[in-house]
Amino acid sequence: MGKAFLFGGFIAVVGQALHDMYSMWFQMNEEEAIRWMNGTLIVCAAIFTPNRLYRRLTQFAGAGMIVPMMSLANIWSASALEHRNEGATEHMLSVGGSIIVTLIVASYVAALFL
Amino acid sequence: MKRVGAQTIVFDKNIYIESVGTVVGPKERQGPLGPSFDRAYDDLYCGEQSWELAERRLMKEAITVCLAKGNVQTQNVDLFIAGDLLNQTVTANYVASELDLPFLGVFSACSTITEAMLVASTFIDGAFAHRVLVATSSHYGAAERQFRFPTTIGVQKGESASWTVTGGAAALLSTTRSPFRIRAATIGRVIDNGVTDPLDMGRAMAPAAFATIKQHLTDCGLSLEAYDVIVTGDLGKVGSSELKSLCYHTGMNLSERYDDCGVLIYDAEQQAFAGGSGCACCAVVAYSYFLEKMREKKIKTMLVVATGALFNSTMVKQNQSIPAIAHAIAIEAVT
Repeated sequence: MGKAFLFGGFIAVVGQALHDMYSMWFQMNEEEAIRWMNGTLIVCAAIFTPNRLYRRLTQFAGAGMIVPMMSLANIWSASALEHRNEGATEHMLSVGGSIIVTLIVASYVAALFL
Repeated sequence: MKRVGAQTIVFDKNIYIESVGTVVGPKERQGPLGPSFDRAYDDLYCGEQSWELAERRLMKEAITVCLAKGNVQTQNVDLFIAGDLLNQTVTANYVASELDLPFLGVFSACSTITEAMLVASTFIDGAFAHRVLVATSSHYGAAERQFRFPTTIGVQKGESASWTVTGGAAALLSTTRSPFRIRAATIGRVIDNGVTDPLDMGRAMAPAAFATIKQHLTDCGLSLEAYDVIVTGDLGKVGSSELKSLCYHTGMNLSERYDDCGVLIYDAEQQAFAGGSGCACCAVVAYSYFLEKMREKKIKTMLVVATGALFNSTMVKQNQSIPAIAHAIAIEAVT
């Protein structure tokens, strides 16, 4: 649990650093910097999926790697990669599809009260 | 009568393992038993486009090696018995389509190899066949994505999980004299211990292994001392200690003459969790490491108890338990 806590925190620190760099160097406003920071982390997760680095890190850090949204990029790119011979698009959501369903339902419910 | 006791067959004829062939993947090559396998690939894809095609190549190549070592042509084989882990035992089916031999597909998960051997031995003993080819295979990537998740997805596994062995193994069984004689076989019963965790298959299989070993000894009127070594297929560290404690509670001291192929095949540094599993696990280790020990006369008799978790991912999602089976083959050295 300690490893997950520290590793998850480390990713958050990296995210914050990226955010600060983007807003400092590219004069981005708050919202733009967050978007670009998220995008960078997501692309990194996808890039580190095929060589199993993401899997190895998850084995080490557990929830520290699963909880951040990078995990979504890992799940989708892993599913697409694994099923590239049988139709990547068809199988891409076989594991991560439940996350989309949950997101849509949750945002619908949230929208009712906000 | 050849049938002894409730579940055992003692063969009348002298049935021998004429030759064997083992081919493995990169992780197995790097493991402690690496040098004892006939061939090994450095790449998990084995030069193919997909995991499934790689597994097919492993089985095919193991058969090629086995036939070459035995100096036997395919047309001199009467029957081909094979099975694997993939849906509808698809690897065995495709390999059989290329071999052009009468074919029987068998499946009992990771105990497929001993099932194939005991069916083959029964055919030979009954004079329904002179020479039978048996084969099995498994592949880490193919098994992982069929039974669990895609291989690159980030998941955290506990220490009771196993690592599917990438490999193919084949053996020729006949009455042609060789140093290894198959004396008896015990057909296992399916035992459901109520384990529902697919990442703890050792615990699911240990009671099946225990039941088969106990039944074999009872049926043959033997004690544990009759065997120099008792080898289980892929119980792993967790399942092995479970089996040892089950034996201990019934007054059998298994520890001093016991090995598990899943524990032997990988080093502790290889991060294979509890050890190897899969159809190929028992087959490649028994055919290389243990038969070699037998050839060197370090062991005279061994009981190979391959264990299979009859695992189905659909049923596991429905919270059903994982039944398990273990078939045993008694092999002795002849001089």
